[in-house]
Amino acid sequence: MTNEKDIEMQNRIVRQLETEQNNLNPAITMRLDRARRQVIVGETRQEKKRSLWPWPATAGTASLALLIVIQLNQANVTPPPDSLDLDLLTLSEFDLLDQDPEFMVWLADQEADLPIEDSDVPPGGSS
Amino acid sequence: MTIQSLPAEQPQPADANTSLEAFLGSVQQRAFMIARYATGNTDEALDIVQDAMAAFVKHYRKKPADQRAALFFRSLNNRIIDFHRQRQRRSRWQWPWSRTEDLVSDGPDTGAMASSNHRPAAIAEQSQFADALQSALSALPDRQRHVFLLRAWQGLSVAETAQALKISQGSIKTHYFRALKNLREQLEQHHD
Repeated sequence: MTNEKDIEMQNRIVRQLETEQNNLNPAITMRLDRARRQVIVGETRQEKKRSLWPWPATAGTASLALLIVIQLNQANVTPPPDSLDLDLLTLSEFDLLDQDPEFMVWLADQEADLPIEDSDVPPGGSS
Repeated sequence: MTIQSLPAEQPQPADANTSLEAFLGSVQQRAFMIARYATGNTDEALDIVQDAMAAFVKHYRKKPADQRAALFFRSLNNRIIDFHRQRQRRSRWQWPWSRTEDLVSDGPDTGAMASSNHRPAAIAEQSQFADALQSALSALPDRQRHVFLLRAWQGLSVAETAQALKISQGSIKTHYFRALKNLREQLEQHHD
């Protein structure tokens, strides 16, 4: 068989394959169309996900960095005034009874020597 | 290789997907027929084509349009190779008669060929040729058949076919020559 005959045979094969392709069962063509659309739709969704991904990642990293900075700053800050007051009240130098008992005795005496009008007894009520 | 360099302007994503879909639409039927010749089964062939489309879109969607055909048929070839490997593994644990091959029963729709020629003798001859071609193509070794279909039918160049099948251009020429020789022998009686 010559080369020309080979070409002729090849052309006939290709024509036959084209015919078969054009006359493919419509159900098969529909399934192929559906598969193609699924692939394209899936890819479009993936593309959208990929394009959105940097934003949450960036926002998350920035939030984490901010949180770390705040935590570090708080460690160096002095306690707030409220807690300072409470600490002072519990300090031992404010325990007057221990510190100056003589003063406490004097104070008790002073309260005992108070005038009658300062007491609960009504004036002239005792006789 | 005759693969061109990247185009100056990249298409926008929406346009790219439209063009990708158009490309896949233009090759899906040939891909299906190639897969069916390779597997002998319609459902397997459909699955293979869908997987090949998905792999092509995933890995090669941004490649230039002139490389698409070679890369798509590479994806298809990879899926077909995977199919044969899986079948080989399965067949070790399966009785021979439980295999489901339906190429003969679900082959090309030869009845529709009647529309091209209404003479009974011509129809009979065309139908016989279609059957003989199907048998001849099915009987070819996978690689020879794939090379022949990509070169002669899909119209890929030697370089593109080599890229698609990941073999050397020299091997493509050898496989193509052998495929032609085998087909000639099988179809000689149908040749005028």
